[in-house]
Amino acid sequence: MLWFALRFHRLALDLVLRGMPGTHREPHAIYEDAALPRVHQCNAAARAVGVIPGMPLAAALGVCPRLHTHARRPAAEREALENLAGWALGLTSQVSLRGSDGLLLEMGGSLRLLGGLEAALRKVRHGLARLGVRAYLAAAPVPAAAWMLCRAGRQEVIRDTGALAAALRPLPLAALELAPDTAGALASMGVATVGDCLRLPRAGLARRLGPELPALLDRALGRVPDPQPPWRPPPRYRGRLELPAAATDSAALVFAARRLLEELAGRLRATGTGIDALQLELEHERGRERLPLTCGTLTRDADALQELVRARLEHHALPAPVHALGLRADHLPPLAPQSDELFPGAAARDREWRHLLARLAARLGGDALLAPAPAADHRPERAWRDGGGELHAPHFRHRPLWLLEEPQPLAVRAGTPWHDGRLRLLAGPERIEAGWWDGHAVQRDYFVAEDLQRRRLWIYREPHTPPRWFLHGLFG
Amino acid sequence: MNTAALLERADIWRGGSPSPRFRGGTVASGHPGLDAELGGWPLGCLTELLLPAAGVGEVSLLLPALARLAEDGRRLLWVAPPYLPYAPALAAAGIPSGALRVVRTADAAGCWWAMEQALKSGVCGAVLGWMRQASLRRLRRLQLAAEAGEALAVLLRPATCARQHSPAALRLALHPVAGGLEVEILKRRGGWGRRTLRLAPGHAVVRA
Repeated sequence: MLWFALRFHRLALDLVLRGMPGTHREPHAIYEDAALPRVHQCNAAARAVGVIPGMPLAAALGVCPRLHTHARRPAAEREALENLAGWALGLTSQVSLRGSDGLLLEMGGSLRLLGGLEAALRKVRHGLARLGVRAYLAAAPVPAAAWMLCRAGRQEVIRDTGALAAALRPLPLAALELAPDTAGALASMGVATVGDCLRLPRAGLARRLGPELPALLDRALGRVPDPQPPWRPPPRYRGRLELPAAATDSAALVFAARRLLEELAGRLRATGTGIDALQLELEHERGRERLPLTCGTLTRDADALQELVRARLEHHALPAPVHALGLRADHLPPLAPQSDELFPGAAARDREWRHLLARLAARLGGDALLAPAPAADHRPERAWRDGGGELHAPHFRHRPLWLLEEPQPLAVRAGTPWHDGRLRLLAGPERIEAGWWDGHAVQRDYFVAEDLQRRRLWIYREPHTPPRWFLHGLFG
Repeated sequence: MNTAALLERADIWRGGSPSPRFRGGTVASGHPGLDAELGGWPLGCLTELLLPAAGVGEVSLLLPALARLAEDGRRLLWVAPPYLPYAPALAAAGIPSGALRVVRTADAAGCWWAMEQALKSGVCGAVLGWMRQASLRRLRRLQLAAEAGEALAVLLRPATCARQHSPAALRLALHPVAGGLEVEILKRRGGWGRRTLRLAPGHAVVRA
C-alpha cells in the first residue's frame, strides 16, 4: 500500500486564477465573505507587497490598492474537489476525499501500471499543472501519515512502515488537526510536536484527553487498519470556472475551457465512459448563455473536445464579457478503451472523421453539412437523401453528378430547348414515370444534351402541348 | 555524394524527366496520359483547377482518384459545390455514401476554414473546394494546411483567376472540347513550360 495525499492548499485561489494565463503577475486575494471580511488566500504577487492571509480585507486593500479581490465560494471549492477526485480516478480506482481540500489516493496497486513511483509522482504533478491547481503531495504506507506530512507541507515519500515514526516526529502539532481544546491542553503541557506526543504515556493520554488522540497516532503509525471511504463519481459532470477578469474573446474562453476538459477527460477515462454531447455555459452580466455541442461520436479526447469548443466559440458573438464558464455533461455512457490508448487504425480514423464533422457543424451549423446517399426511388429528385443511405438503392446508368435543386425551365425556340444557346441532344429519351401513388407523379423524358460551352446537361421534356423542357442536372 | 545518390533525392528534379515527383506522393488519376505527364494527382499540396464554367467535366476528371481514395477508407469533403452532388451517380462511380460530406453554406470565411480544418485533420483523402474570391493570404494558408496532411487538395475556381498569382503546386486550366476535355498545365512545381493534354472519352490522351 502506498497512499498519496494531495492537499490543495490554495484551492480557492487556484479556482479563480487558473482560468487565465499570466494571472500570477497581478496581486490576487480571496476573502472570507463575513461581517469582517478577511484575506483567506493570496498569491505571491500579493504577498510581495505585504498582503498576508488572515489580515482584514480593508487592511489588505490599504497596503495594496490594486489588489484583485474575490469572495470565497465554499460550494464551488467542494465541486472542484469532487472534480479533482474524478480526475484522480484516472490514476487509481481508490480515491477518497479528505476534509475540504484534500484527496487520498491508494497508489500501491497502480504504480507498476504507471511505470514506477517516480513516473507516478511526475504524472500527478504534470496532471495538476495542466488542471491549473497546486497541491502539496506526500506519500506514505498509511493514509493518516501521508495526510499529516502533507498537512505540514512536507512533500516526502515514506515507503516503509518502520520509517513512519521517525518521519512524523518532527511534525508540528497542527499536522494532527486536533480539536481546539485538545490542542490547547497539549500546548499547556509543553507538547509542540508529534514526537512529543509519542513520548507521553499512552494510558495517561487517553485518560486526560480522550481516546481520539491515541487512536489517531495508532493509525498514523500503521498499528491499526484505517479504511478510507471510497469516493464514487456522480453519473454526470458539472464543472465551473470563474474567470479572474472578464473574457472578451474566444481564445481566453478556450484556455479556460481546457482546464475543465482535462478534468472531464480524466474522469471519463477513469470510469470507462465517454460523452457524445456537452453543454457550454457562458455567464455574463446579461445572464447565462447555454451552447449545446454535439461530439459526433462517443469520446473522451480532451484535444478533440477543445477543438470542438474552439470551433463553436470562434464565431460566436459574445453579448457581454464573460466572467464564468461552465461545462456540463448529463450522460456519461460506457465507452470501451479506445485505440488512441492502444493502437491507431480504422476505428481511430473513423473517430477523427466524426470529430472533424462535429467541429464543422459546431461552427457552420448542423444543416450546412450534407451526406448525400442514394435512395430507392425512380424519381430523380427523390433518388437521394441526406444521411443514411439504402443498401439496396437501384443503380441507374447515365445519371449526372450534379443535380439542380429545382428543375430549371428552359426556353424553347423552333421546337428546340435552349440554355444560353441552342442545345444539341446527344442521347435519350429515357422515360421516367413514377409516383402516381403518392401524389407526386412525374412523367418525363430525359435527354443528355450539350450546350455551346460543351457542357453535358441532363434535361427532360414533359408531355404537354407544346412540350415543356427543364434542366435538371449537369454531368460535370 | 555521387551523382547517382544525388539523383535519388526527392527534391532534385532532372530537367527533361517526364514526371517530376511531388513531395507528398501522388494518387493515380485514372487517366493514363495525365499520369504519364504528372505522375498522378499530387498529395499534400494544393492543386488548382480553373474552369470556364461549373460543370465542364471537372468532377469526372477527379472521380477515378476520388473513388480510389474512398476505396482505401479515406474520407472526402466537398466544400461549397455549385450544385447538389447527386448520390446515385456518385455511388455508380464507386464513392460510397458514407465517405463523402458536403459543406454548403453562404459563409465564405467558414468555407475556407472548413477546408483548412479538413486538410489539417489528416483524416481526409481529398478536400475539394469551389471558391471564387481568394486573397493570396488565404491561398497560402490553404497551401500550408495541405502540406500539413497528405490529402488531395483541390481548389476549383473560375478561369478568370488564371492571372492571379497562386502558391498552388499544380495549376491546370480545363477546356471542354468536342468529345472530351483539354487539360492545360499552367504551372507545376519542379516543371516548366505549358503543355496541353486532351482527355478523350475512354481516357485516350492526345498531345495537342
